Amino acid sequence: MDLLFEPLSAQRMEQAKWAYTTRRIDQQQSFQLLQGALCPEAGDLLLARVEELGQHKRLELVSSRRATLFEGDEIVVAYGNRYAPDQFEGIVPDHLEACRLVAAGGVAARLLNRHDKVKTATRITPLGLLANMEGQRINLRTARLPKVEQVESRPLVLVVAGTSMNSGKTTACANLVKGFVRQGIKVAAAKFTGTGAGADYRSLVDAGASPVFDFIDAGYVSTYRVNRDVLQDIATTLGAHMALAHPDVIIVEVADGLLQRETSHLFATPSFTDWADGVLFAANDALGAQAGVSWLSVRQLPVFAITGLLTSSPLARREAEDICGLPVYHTGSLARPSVSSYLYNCLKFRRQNQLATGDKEHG
Amino acid sequence: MSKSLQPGKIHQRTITGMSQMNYFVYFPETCRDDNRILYTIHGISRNAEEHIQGFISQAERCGAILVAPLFPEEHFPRYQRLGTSVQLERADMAFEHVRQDVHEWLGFPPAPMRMFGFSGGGQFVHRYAMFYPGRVARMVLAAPGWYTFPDPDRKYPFGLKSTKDWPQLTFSLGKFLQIPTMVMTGEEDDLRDKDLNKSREIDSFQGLNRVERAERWVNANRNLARSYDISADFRLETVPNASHAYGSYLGHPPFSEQIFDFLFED
Repeated sequence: MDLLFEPLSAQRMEQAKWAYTTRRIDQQQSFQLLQGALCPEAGDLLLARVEELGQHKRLELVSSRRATLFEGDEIVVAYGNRYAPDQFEGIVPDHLEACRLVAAGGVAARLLNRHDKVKTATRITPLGLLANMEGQRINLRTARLPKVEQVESRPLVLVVAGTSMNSGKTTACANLVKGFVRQGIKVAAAKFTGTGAGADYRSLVDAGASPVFDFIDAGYVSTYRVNRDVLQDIATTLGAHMALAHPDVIIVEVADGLLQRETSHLFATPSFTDWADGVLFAANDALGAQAGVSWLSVRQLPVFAITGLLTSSPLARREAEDICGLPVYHTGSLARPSVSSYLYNCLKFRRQNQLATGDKEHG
Repeated sequence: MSKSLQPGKIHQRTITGMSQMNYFVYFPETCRDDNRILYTIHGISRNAEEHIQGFISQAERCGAILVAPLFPEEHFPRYQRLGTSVQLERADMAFEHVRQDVHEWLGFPPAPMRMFGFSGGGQFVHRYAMFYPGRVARMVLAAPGWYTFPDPDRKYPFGLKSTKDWPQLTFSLGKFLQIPTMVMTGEEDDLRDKDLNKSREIDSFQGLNRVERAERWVNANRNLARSYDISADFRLETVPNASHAYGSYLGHPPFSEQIFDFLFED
């Protein structure tokens, strides 16, 4: 079947609900609807109709307002792969078939698996891909940040990783930002992996980080099933743009658990691991903390403290301290200047030590 | 070196100033004249002279001068915490006067100190080292009842956080963690005796007795050293058969030998 182009009126595009994942796309431009025998790619934007509501009854808009969905609504979302152990696994389909809304931030995918405790995903019908007036598909990559050749500044870099989803990473990141900002320390922050969702991004903005980026800014709707070059591209692009703002500290959140494929690939990327001054590890329990710290230590990553959900329990915290041999900080305390100042000094001390060691080795 | 200083004899000196304070000095016959000084800090029994007497044979073995300040209760009721508040009864400042007097008297330039403290003295020594890590070369803490943990989320003196009484505290943990430290606890010093601070806060995070509290403090510092990427030396030693009495620690012959070996091993 030949490709079909159908002009889209400005009014129709204005009435459609644009998902968070499309936040870098200029909605004021003129669009065409591209239909036919198409093989979608991750990051392609599609206009879709909501057929049957399921798990996601709301769509997170560009503004991060969670708009109520109604059957028959037209939405603009992005095709993407989805990895969420407590929700769905989804992949970009091979053609414009009926598919699912697998993330509230606006990700369309063919559903592969779902957690027992969630409803099936909201069913949507693709009406076509969005294209510009030259007939080129609109993909998130077309609106990504430009590459930066060289950045002179070298701020401190703190990476937050965790045992799994919902281990406290995002809360830890936001609290860390707040703690640093309260001391007058300038913070840039980014989320390097995961699935496009505004809550994490906005919490970093709300805490006072500036600038804030996620992988959408590098042109990716999610990082599930991307290759190592893409991970490196995201890290390099977002890292450089944060450094351009000359912050004192860069905070990077890495989504999901260490065993998640892309997370583990990122932690095996030398340019990323060499860049990090310290890894703060968020865990749900002491055993998870021990496993995570061991995993990171074996790979010679500079894990320097533990936080996360386990810190709600003083006994779990003590277990983790004993078994991991590292300090454990209550997630809430990271926002306190008394704590964040010590974390900042610790990172600075490590950087100075590293530089001194490097001087000796090269001298 | 002062001519008034007789080797092999315990001297008592008095300093005046913000508050009068005595200290004891022993100058060994084997003194190597190389600034080998051990500052020993008493517990709440304030037995400063007994500290000197108990260490004389080791001082002679190592050629080390002994200095034992006596913090009078009326002026320094909370010397273990370095003072009642940032402005009141500051034992650390009084101790600094002692240190200056020692160096002026002996004619040695001040150098980072080798310090020992028993019980409340152990509390004083580790807090002093946290406040002034550049002034302490090595330290031994025997049987402290409780500790200031290197925890920025707990208020001083439980942790490092500033309070109304202790405002604007700053600590150089990177330096503190590099001080070689040995903590000694008696094998039988695990009782909740009348002198042990049994506040709920201390029980809840430090442990129920001196042995548990020592283990947790040593581990906390080792953990933090890993965090800072410092190869720290925090040791924990058990003194066989010792209860909390100073005499029962001294009664174990290797006790004082271990202290001197550790403090003067460099």
